[in-house]
Amino acid sequence: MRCGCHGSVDQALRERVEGALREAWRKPSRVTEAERLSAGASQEIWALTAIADGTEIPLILRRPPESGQEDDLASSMLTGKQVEIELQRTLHGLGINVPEVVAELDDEDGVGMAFIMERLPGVAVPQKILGDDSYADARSALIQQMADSVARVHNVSTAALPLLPLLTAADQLDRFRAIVDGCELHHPGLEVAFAWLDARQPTESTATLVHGDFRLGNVIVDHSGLSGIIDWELAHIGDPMSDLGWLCMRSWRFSRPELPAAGLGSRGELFDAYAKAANVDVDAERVRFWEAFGNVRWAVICLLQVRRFLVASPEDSHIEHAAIGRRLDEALYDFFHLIDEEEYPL
Amino acid sequence: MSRPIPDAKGLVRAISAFLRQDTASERSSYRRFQSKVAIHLLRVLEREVSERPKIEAAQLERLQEIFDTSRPDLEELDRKLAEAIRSGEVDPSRIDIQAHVRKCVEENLLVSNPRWLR
Repeated sequence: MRCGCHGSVDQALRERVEGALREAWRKPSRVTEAERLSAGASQEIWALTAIADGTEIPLILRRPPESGQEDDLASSMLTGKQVEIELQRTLHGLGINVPEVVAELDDEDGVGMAFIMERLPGVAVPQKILGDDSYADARSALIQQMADSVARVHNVSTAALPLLPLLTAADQLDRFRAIVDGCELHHPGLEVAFAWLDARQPTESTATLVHGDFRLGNVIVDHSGLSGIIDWELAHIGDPMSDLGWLCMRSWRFSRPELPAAGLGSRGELFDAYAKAANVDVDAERVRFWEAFGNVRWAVICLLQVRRFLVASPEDSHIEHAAIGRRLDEALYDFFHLIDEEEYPL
Repeated sequence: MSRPIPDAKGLVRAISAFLRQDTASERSSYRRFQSKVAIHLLRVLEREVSERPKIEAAQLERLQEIFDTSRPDLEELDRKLAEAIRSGEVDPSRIDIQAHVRKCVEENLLVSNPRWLR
């Protein structure tokens, strides 16, 4: 197997993948290539190629990290692998553009559930999507396409879905405080932010399926635009406006910080596109709350990532987990900037 | 003056150069990504060494004003503030507290990622 990478897909895992594919496809196949993708800080993502009947089939393997002893704190934010797989199957069945799940691997080796899905054409790398000339057409179509897709996600009947937690802002703030405590951290800045958000939660409640991490990096884009939505591990039932607020965070604008909506356009363009797709009015102040909330949520996720570094043994530790701890202040800085601004820039 | 050379900056430069050489021919994009992260963290470390003492002195001074105390323990006062906000014992909208937490974030960013500041 060609695999010039750190932490290769070992022989045992390859055999399990081939076994799972044989069962799913009812014919033998061979995994010929495996490359670990750098994306996915909380998951190991591998691009695989399998050959069956002489045809090359591009696949993605998604599995918990090697070092992945279950972390209760981290899992308090996540849907859980089984639910994630079921959700992805359900959405694909409903015709929403998510990759089809091909096979599941049982948790035989204690690293947790892994699954294999189709590899959609395109890339997920934000820097390429925002920077390469070859994606210029995709960029001009993406805001409307992302708005359309996320509106369809919000419109899915929750009765059709696997059991997902209903998470209000208050529920999540409780979890954030528990995570800070679990990390044995005392953080006045985070406490001020929690208190601010606590006092300003949206009152009326709308609850739909939300993706929970909807941004460039979690959509597959080819040269004509969006081909699929990936990474459903933070999906839950909640305020659909939280997906829009998250999408506007500066942390997800990459090389184009001047364009609030995913580095692609203005907030106003995004809200108009969503309003058109979902046939609802977008309450900008409500999105603003969720953008502020999103920054604090991201700060807490940074904490969880750095904690994985801190508890890992030296041979299982990943430098990017350590680095992400240093991004907490970026998120808090943006939170304060956003709440200090008199007007929410559209 | 018998300060050893290379100085802190020089050491950072040496390690960064080594990491670059070490991964220049690396085929795995994940490994190249990790070495970029390592080089970035070295620069953070360099600023950490030079800036943190000043930052902590300023933070201690602000916390002492907030609590009207002369206690010299930054860790203790920082914890006390976090706990007091959590429990509702102090009003988090107090101007001095609001200013303090914003200032802390800016100070940290000066070390971790100065380009984030606007």
